[in-house]
Amino acid sequence: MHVLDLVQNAFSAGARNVDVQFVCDKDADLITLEVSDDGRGMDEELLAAVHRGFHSTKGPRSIGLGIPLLREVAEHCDGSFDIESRRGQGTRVTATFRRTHIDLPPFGDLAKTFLTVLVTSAVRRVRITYRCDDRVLSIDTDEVHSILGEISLQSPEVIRFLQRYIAEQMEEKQEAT
Amino acid sequence: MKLEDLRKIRERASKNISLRQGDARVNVVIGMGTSGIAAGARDVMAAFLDEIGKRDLNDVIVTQTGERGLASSEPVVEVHIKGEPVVVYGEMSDVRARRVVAEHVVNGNAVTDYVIEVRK
Repeated sequence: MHVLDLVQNAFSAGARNVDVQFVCDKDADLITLEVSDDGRGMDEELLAAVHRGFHSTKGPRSIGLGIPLLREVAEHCDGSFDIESRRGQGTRVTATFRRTHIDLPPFGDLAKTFLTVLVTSAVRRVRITYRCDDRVLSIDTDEVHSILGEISLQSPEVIRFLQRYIAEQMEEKQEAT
Repeated sequence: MKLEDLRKIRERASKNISLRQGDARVNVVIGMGTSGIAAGARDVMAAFLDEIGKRDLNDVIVTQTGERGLASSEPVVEVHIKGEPVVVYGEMSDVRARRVVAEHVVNGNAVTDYVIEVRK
């Protein structure tokens, strides 16, 4: 759930480019989630308010409960949490979790999340990188658009394709190519 | 399976069917703020996309919007059909989304059970 929330934050911050990375590392027993954007960013005051914990006002860049909740989960799961942000330059949120922590909540159906992010990207460029053991999904809306030309990402056939593609890349072992 | 396979879709599509960017009969707008997502907007979105794919609906697009101040009714979905009032649905779910596609988007009859607002 947090993944989608972070991407929505980036979208509503007016980002043109959004990078989503989800990496699990068995050896280090770690999951790393990183979402970075080139949206309007936050100044120190707003950032400090976010770090303090609850900043639930509908500010210019309304950060509700998403960020504090994510931080709590990450820290509770022996992980870390960091936001880097600069007014006018964008924001990078990085959260890590100990992969085998008993309290690590499920991330939900990441395939659905990724599909949702891709088809609602509109004019934004979204890059998704998912790596988990030997499974890799890497998709860039610029590449998709350049293949599709004027065909919409939301054409039924394209949606069907992306559903299958995402599922296949995330679920099956990478074949040596 | 390769991303390049999309090229085949383009070649097939470029003749007659398929949605061009910014040209759709129906726009489904899903509230995807924190409260919407927490209430299940992602599954609602996925259900709409799945139905569009399955039913081969070439004239429907799905877009997202942020918080709308209707947190208690989330997930909230608006259905915009050209030339008709905007219908706002509340407390949507996967199952409800599929029903809205079948009855409203395809057949033109709003599902009154879930309607929370109609805007001219």
